[in-house]
Amino acid sequence: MLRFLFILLFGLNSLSASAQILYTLSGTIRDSTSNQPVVRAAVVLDYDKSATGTYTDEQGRYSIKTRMGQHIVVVRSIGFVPFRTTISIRGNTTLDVRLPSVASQLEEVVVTSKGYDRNVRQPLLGVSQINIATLKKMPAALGEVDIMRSLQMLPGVTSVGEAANGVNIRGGTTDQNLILMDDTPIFNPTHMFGLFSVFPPDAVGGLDLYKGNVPARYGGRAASVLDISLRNPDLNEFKLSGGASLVANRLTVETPIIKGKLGLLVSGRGAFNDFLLRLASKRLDDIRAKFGDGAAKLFWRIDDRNTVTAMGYFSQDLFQTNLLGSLANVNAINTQYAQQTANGMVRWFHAFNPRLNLQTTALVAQYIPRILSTEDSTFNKVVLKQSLLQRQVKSNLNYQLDNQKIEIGISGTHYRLNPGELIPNNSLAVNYQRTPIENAMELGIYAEDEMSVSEKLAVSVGLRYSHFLSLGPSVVRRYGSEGTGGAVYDITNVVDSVRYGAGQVASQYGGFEPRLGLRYALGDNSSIKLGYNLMRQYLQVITNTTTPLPTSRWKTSDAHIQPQVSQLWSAGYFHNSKNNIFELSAEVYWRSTQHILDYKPGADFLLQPYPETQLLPGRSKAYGLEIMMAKKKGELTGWVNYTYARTLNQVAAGVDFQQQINGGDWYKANYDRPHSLNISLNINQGRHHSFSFNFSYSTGRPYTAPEGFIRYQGRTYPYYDERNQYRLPDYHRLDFAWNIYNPSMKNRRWQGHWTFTVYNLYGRRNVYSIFYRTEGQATNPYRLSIFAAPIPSLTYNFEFK
Amino acid sequence: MRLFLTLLLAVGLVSCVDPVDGILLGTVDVLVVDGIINNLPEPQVIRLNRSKSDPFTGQTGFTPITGATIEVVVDSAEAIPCHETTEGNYQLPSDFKGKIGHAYQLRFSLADGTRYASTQQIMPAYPVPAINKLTARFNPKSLRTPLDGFYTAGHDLFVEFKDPVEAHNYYRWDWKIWEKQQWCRTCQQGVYAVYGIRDSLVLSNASRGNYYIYTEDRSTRLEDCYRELTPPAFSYRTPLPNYAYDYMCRTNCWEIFYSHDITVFDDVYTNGGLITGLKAAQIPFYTYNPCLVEVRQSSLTVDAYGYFKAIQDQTERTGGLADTPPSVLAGNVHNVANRKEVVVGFFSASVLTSLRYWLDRKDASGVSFGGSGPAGYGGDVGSELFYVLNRRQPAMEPTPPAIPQMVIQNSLNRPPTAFCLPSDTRTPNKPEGWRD
Repeated sequence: MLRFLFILLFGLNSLSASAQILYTLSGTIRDSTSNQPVVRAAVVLDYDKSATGTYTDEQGRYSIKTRMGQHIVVVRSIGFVPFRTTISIRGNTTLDVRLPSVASQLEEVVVTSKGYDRNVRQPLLGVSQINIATLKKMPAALGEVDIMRSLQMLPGVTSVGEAANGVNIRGGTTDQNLILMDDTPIFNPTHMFGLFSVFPPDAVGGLDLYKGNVPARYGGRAASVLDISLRNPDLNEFKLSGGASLVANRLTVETPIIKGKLGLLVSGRGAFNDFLLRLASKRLDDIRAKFGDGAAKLFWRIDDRNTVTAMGYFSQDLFQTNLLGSLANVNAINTQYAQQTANGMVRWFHAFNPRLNLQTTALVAQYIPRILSTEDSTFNKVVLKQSLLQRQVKSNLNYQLDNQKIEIGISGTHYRLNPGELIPNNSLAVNYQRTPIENAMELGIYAEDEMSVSEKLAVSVGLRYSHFLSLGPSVVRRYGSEGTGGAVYDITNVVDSVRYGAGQVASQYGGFEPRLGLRYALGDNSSIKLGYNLMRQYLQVITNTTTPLPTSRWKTSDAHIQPQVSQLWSAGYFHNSKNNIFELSAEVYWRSTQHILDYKPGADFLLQPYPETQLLPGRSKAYGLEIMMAKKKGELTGWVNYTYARTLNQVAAGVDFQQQINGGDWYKANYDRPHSLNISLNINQGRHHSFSFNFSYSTGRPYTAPEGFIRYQGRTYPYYDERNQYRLPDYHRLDFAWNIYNPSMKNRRWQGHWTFTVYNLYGRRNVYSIFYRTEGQATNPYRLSIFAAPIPSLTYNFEFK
Repeated sequence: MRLFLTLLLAVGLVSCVDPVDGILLGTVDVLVVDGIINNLPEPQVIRLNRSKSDPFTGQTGFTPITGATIEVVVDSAEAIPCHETTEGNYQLPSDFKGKIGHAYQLRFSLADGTRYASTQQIMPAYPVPAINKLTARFNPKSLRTPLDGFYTAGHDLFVEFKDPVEAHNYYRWDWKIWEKQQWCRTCQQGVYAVYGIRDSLVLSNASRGNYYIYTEDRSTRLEDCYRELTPPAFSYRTPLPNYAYDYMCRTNCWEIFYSHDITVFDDVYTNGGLITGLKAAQIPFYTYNPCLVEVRQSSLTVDAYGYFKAIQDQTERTGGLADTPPSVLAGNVHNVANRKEVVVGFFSASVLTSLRYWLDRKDASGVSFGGSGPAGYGGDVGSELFYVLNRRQPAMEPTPPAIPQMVIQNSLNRPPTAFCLPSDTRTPNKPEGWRD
């Protein structure tokens, strides 16, 4: 049925394109203040339908042929406010435009990209610029727009399952993705253990996902960069928007404080409806799920050349369920998981002239996850707390030439990590304990040049040098057999301990990170791109669970834990159809990562001052092919993509079989899912309705199953040997969303729209895990599914202008 | 409207756990060693078995290993040999006493000559703290694994003790309970006989065909079931019908149940503290009758604790959102010639203390497990416990005017009572602490 709709809409489109009379629309574009003609301004007609366009010549003149009827005209040029109008063509028409070059001049310079077709003309490979408006139309679980789940509809982005606390991009682990919100890092991108994402959807302006060629200005993570920017507040008008759904309630207010100069955006979201779950079923008695997040952004245009932006973000979660384990060795009747994120950023933008500008940013980010165990009879809460504080100052200079864009910058970051602290409060039994605090500094300096070498060839050359220092106060052990290449970190092997004072450098690492990209245009509409990246990561998560818990331990590199180094080679072929309606891309990549961390059997990282005794270093390789076809314009838009991707790890840290995984052979990573197919369709039915479908299919992830059973102490236990030898059943799911806009069909200041969503439309019980449990004297296999039935939900969104 | 949608949401959100058909073709073939010796004056047993999967069906079988030569080496000096009592069970001499602070190592060689040795385990060098007290609380949702897939009521037993601050302690709890048993024997296709039985075959052409006559002979004692013999063909008794009779106990008799779960604790966060309210045992609510519970608190070595914790994590603590993927359960015994061979199981030395508690079950409510069958509570005394063990109500041998399936001539006072045969799970001796 969908296919028929597809063909029908295509047919209609092409039908309307033929059999028409063409008239000429022409005119001159001038600067409104100086009256000078604007050279090479882009004049675009009907950007939302068939998008024809041209550039003005040296006299600012343009001429376009088009058919009779209503058309939307947009005129753009760097340094000017874009001009938009709707005109009615009944014959040859003249349209002269005067472009003002005042007020938002600076914003345009920062935001505009070269030309309106990113796919073919940008040399950067593997970057996806995601439109937040498109995301808001996609079906979302439980009615809440979820960026992390929607990202999984893109090629190369997968996760271990529905309750995953992050995504895996091109074979990287979840902590290898640098997730930035207005330049501040987000360490845990989900609420409620993977069910929702932490980004306030009403405040997000744009999303850039760099999974191939990562620009040199980003560093610190090995796999990818997800750069989310919040939008700037409107400096002229007061706007209010928000919504309510079954799960959460949202409100966003933006208002100018000084009209045209200072504006404030505040956006908040809260989910406190878990009491309804307890009313609904006794089985859900033990579930507590509350979260809230809020962002505030202040934009101050000091003058034509200077702006200051300040952003603050706060998020809080409380989650209780018996599906997450409790803290061992603390006698508790229930366990709660809480996390808190507080980020802040101040940025000063200074334009020396329209070509040269300087941006300086200072930011702070703090992430505090906690496990709260409630003791019996006293109801005292014992708290296990971790805290990660990142403070960073960075500055970059951008120089825009005719055919080049040069950027140089420096950045300095300080990390203060408290890996674990046990706070007994009023407990009679539990003692206070803490792990030594880790201090570290990461410095980076980079230069990047994007240039059009010729008509066909564009090159992006970047080089970043990063340096990492692990600082005292700290105690570093020395182990025997170090220097033999296969250091064995075991408590029985300790030779010596060295003490470092505050500020002393205990160990340091550093290296170059070349970022190269090349685009060669094969024609007007197609190009091939090649890329090579090297990225270094000094801060990582150490965990031995299938997916990291929000409370999993973070660790900076030190004398025994080396930074992860990842190299990515990628190549791709890109093709845009005429009028940029269709976009086809095919990319292959190969990634190799050194010094990945895996864990010994029975590893325990909680409050462990020497985690190197629980870890095994290894290496990883990942490769894949991503094919995507997208339709970007028209009533039916969307994409289909297929990915074949493999990720394999190898750990052979020693000769003893306790120091090898699967005997030192390559084994499948936890998130190795060879085939994925995603289809996302959005159908705009006029101005009042839109329908959206998401279909997602992927091979099941690997799991470890027993090779048989053993009889021990009167019970039959499963006997496990090699890891990840089996696969879960395949995963597939269909979601549906229906957006109803402005049902009263009147133009008013207050606009509302409803969204009806069904997640998992045909109710497939996708298996999240298969596990064996020993009960009584026998061992039985079970499978766990998270969303086992279709989940409908209704959301109301409103906007007040 | 909102509540309706929330209900729909709730139904979908509740994660589903379904059983899966056992699918795997096993390839396991390992030696399993079970030997935890302690400092109490009770028999110290080391068990060996081989768990091996049949290469064709994939089913795993467990065979006890006989004929091995086992010895325990004390302080690397004295080697004490064990003798095999039953198949696969090797016992240390009855005068052996484990002593705290001493080092023990297991060495054995199989019948085919392969030699194995364990690491040295030092019995924790401090006495395990005594259990100050035990408190019991009835909990309808006590049992972690429901009996028969649905029954969860039981009594939670909480221990209180003072953790010694001088050492890093690792604990494990086991329990055993004695329940009063009234039914001592079940005979399938036969009857219980106190004295010996003589059988004589009668060949006959009549319609009932051939048959046996059974006579009790008072000179010898049998004290066992006597199975009915199948007469040769052309008999109304061929084939034998299926029947079973249950016999009550002649003397006092107690049934013993043991714990199976692993309950361990590490004092890493609570060193030196007063540990209260730690759930050490979950006693199923078998019957409304009181029972005697013995909770054994043992202090393990750090390696043994790590081993049991690993077993617990990968076999009992599974099914969550963020499980630790399981790994090989290799213990501390290795093949002297081939270090790569995986041997499962642990040899260790632990210090034990125990406390007995009279669980009167007066605070219990609802249906006991013994009364949860389709027939509810049976009329006969002791039928609750009978149901727990056999999942049916007891069926006594019929008395006149009813005729039992197998008739014994010259037998007095039928049905007889049965002997309470002592075993691992039964004893005729009143356990210390039992209150009548």
